[in-house]
Amino acid sequence: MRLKSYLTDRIVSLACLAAAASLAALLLWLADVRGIFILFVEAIFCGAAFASLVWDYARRRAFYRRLFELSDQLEEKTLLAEISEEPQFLDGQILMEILRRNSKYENDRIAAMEQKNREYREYLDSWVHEIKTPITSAGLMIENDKNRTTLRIGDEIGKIDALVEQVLYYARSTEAEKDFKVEKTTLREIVNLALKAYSRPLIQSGAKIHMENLDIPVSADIKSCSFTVGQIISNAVKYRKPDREGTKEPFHLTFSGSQERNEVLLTVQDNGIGIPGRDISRIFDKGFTGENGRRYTKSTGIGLYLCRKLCGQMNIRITAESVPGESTEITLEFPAESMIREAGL
Amino acid sequence: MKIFIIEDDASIRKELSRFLQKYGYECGTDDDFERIVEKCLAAEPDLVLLDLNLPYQDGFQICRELRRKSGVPIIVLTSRSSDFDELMSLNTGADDYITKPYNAQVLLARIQKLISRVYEAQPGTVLMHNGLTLNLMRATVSHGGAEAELTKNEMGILRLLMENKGNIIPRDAIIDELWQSEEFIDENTLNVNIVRLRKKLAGIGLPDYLQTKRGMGYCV
Repeated sequence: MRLKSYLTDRIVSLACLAAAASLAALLLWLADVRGIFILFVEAIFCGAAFASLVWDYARRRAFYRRLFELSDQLEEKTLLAEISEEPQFLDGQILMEILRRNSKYENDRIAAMEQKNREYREYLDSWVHEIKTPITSAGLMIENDKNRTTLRIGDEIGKIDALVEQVLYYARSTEAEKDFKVEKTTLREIVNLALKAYSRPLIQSGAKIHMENLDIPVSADIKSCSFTVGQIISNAVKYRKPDREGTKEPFHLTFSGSQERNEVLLTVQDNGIGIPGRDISRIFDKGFTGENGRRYTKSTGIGLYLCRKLCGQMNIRITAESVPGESTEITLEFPAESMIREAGL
Repeated sequence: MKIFIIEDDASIRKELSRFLQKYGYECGTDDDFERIVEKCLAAEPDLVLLDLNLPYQDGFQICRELRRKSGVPIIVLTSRSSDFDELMSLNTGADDYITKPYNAQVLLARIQKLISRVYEAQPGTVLMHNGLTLNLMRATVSHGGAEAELTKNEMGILRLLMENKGNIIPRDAIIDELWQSEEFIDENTLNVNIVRLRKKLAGIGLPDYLQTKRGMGYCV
């Protein structure tokens, strides 16, 4: 609270005071009171008014300053009214009472939402586990009787499984703290797991897999990392160059590892249709589908968003580069083993 | 070898039994989950496959109880995929842990590994069809007195076809089978492998064993 704004706020009472003081001075002068007495009376008048203003200003300023400080320090801002001290002036007390009621309403609502959210997530969690039972049993039926029809059904079951997996990771990504199981692994292990999960679409699109220098050790959560690589693979399959008769260029997918000073890089490069320059900065945004998503295949804008989110939680940097019409390159930067050791983890 | 399956989903119970029986395992199962531990022990299995989400009591309890009364190897099969469940399973005495949906071949490999470790017996799994014997442990094929050694890829191809004898298996399914054992080959490599496999089969007197169904796939 600034003095100027405080005085502006009191402008009417100050004006009234000034008017009263001048009128009183005029009256005294008309009554032939000696000038020195008039000054004396005015001094008492204004001095008392000034003192009360200063006192009022000081207590208000002190209270509001403490309130602001408290609000800045407080993490749960809706609890402000609960822990603030009681103001010593009436309008402050009234406002505080309103704030308190308001906060209670807000806090109750937040608690109800959190409860609902938690229940929803628990339901989703149990749903994901439930759905795995029929997926498993359908998989076993196919395993027991492989023929052309059941194998096609198997392809579709594989898609269902991948979508269910995505739901699971999406639900987990909204949790405040997610536990990762970091273990020693290699880039090859992560890539192999993802390739196995997406084997059918890759094989059916005639993919040629190239692997370069993948035996680099990293410490990472294998499942989450291979889920990320899987999303990248799934995009590479979706946005490969269309198979036109005669002009068909085989679909190549290259996984290469490299060891830098402070990080280990895993690069996934395809020779697909690429990403237009204006879209590339936004491909990791939630719900972003871009030109490719609209033109070639329906896209949900969730896959890469989840990748970035998961990678962020695991301290892995994920970046994309693309030459439209030629290739796309997604790079994962893992913190190097030596870095982790130095950090004492 | 006898495997007891503790699983509340009837369909999985049935299909898993069918699958394991194909590989010569005897399967037992029961749906009386109140007394499943007694039923399981009464069947005297050589290995137990255990689901975690069960009626009456959960898998951890069953696992602990089984462990108290018997040293039988236990593999937990579950759709709960958290690290906590994995840790808990291993702590309550399970020997291995696989999450659903699992690849049946991976499950089979783990079962074989565990059995051969615990019973020190080589599971002499052989597939036989039309006079050809495929020995999965030694990676050999034999017909009459003649025998030939196979590479990993050749054995994978032949095993898939022999397991599904009479059915036409598309090329992409064969490639997928090899991908699952981390051989990320393409169509050309498959062609080379098929030619070599044919040559070996011809060498032991079965030149037309592996048939090509044009545009559809292969079949034995």
